[in-house]
Amino acid sequence: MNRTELEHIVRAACDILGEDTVIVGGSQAALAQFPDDLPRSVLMSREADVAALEDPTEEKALLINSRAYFQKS
Amino acid sequence: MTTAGTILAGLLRASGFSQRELARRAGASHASLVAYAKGRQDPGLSTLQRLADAANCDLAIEVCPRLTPPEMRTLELHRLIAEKLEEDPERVLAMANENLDLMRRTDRGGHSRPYLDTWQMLVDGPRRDLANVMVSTDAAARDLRQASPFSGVLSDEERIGALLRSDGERVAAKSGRSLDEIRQKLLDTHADAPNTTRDSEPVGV
Repeated sequence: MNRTELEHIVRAACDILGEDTVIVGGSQAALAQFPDDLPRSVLMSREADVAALEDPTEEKALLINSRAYFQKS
Repeated sequence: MTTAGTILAGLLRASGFSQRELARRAGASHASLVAYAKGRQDPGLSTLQRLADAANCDLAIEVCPRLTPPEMRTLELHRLIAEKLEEDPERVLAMANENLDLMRRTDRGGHSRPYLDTWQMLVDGPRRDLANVMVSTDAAARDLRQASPFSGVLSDEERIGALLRSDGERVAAKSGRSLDEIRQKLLDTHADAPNTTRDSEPVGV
């Protein structure tokens, strides 16, 4: 996954949540902060761990993960 | 978690012996077996092995990696995709090939290429090998599923079903909602949300 793809997932997750901020966790968080010179292993993965800012019941996490994400080529 | 008590119960079931008979055959006291069954005493591996031998059973100990919640979710989704593969291989393989083409074209820099090449080999190979990778918990399969070519195979409803299997109980306990209520809420939100299209690059499963 590259930075553009991550941005797409973040936008799509914000859309479905109706919120303007999400948290990116796991190795893909490095893409958000250090888009250049990342280890190959980070770029190989096409999964991102995205979470809502406030989600005590984890219902929002379920909502984010229940969606298949596609990016326009 | 497997306990000595559940292993002992399995040995009794498999052998058809009573506790007393199994104890006699294993050269153990009946009182020890009662203590193992009730969790008051830990038999240790060598004693369990002796009990298994006496019950004409093999004791198989498996080391299973502990999957992270995202890995559990991806595994559940692929378990369902493996079922779809069994039901309608032509459709699933056609979608995988289409996704792999799209993913290769957009994989600028070829970072995902090792995963994509491995998936292509599996998609072109025996179906059993492909299905095994979909449901395996080994490290290579867990890594491979991070670049899955099966986006779009599952409907929203099927995705939700798989995710409720991996996360449903935890969310139900925290939210105080039933699984049916959670499922319905997710379906309603999907119906209201703008949809994404299949003619674009898949990201994730």
